[in-house]
Amino acid sequence: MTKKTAELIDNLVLELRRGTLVLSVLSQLEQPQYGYSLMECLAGKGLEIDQGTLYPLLRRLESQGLLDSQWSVAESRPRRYYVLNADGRSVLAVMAAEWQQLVQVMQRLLQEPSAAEDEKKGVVDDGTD
Amino acid sequence: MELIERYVHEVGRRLPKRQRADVEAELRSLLLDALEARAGATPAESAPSEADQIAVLVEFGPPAEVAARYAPQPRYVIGPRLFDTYCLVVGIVLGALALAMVVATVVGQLSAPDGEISLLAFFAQFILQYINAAAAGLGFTTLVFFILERTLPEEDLVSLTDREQWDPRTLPPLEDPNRIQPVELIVAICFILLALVLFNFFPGKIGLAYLQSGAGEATGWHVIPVFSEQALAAYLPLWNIIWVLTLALDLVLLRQGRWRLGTRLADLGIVLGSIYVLVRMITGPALFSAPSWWLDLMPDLKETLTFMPNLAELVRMALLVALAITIFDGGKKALALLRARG
Repeated sequence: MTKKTAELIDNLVLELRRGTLVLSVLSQLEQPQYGYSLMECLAGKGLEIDQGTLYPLLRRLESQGLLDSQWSVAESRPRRYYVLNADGRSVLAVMAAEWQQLVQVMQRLLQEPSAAEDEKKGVVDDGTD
Repeated sequence: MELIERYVHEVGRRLPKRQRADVEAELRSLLLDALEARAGATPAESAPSEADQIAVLVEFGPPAEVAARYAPQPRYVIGPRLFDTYCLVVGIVLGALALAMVVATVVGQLSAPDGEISLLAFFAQFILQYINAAAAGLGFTTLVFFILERTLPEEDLVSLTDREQWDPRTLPPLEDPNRIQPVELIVAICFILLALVLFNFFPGKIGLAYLQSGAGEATGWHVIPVFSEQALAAYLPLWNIIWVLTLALDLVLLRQGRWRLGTRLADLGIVLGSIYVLVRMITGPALFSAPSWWLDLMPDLKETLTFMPNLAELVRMALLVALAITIFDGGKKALALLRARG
């Protein structure tokens, strides 16, 4: 694989993941979380996300009215906690349903070529018999 | 902790004032969380090492990048939503300016106080002024769109590209490359006939017209022939051949109604012939020679004709331009021929 192809793959993978970020973040905010804890939570479940991407995304989701946030001074240092609000919850439900559908479609699409090949083979075999 | 503070400040100063303090506080808290996690076993009271601070900051990324994520400003002058409209408006502005400038320059030249009309000065003035006006027009248009891009609400932009109003039936029909335009042909035939008659029967009438003022028999319009007899004798027969051939080709095209391989080849041959004659004219004897007897005959013309010595040079330039246009035209025709065959 050439360097150019490797770079292209990196970019495509990044693009693919970027589309799932909002859904991933929303899915983990039923309970209030602050930035760092959310990052660790996502990382613990296998989703590595850049801090420089995650924190601004939280603020954007808040300004879009999907999250509520609150400063908490109960701990060693003040932390800003984010949590889904009612709008965020309904958006999450729609997005999750959309995701399930997408997964099914993608599975069908990705399995299709081999299935088609098998079918073709069958036809050829029939011909030779 | 100095590095952390410097970093927070660098990010903060790039943000809009209203969100600066809040983002700074959050960023500081997040950086400390990351530092704490990195230090791990290190007791919380001890100050974090510089190496840890550097590692955490490198992970966060350069301040400009982080600030851009917090307060995304469009990093372009005109976005894709407005770009098509922008191109359309730029085209209209540049076209309208060109028209206005042509009118202004012609009027300016005609009303020049000394009554001199110099082609060279005309073109130079036009080009310089047009470059200035076009740059200003382009600048103002871009400025207006720059502001629109940043102030128009999202809903207004959507209506600019309303998909529901688009009707496929409004698509322009495909152009048939072989179809001829009868009007163009008829106009061309008229011009060729005019040139044939004018150059062959009235060569003396092609020239500079001037109005002789004052009393006496000489009062009224007079014409100074532009082309020398020598030039006419050398080039007119060649042009006559080309004009007659073009005339014949145009008549055939008008009859057939379409371009065919034969007519395309003939057309290309005529273009090559024109190129040959133009090259001969550029390298051969001068088209124009100002016989001194004119000026002796009409001494009051001397002042008006001060630009005469440049005329030969001007004619040569015009011929070069004509040659360039003809070669370009020939290239286009050759391409059309190849496409028609392929």
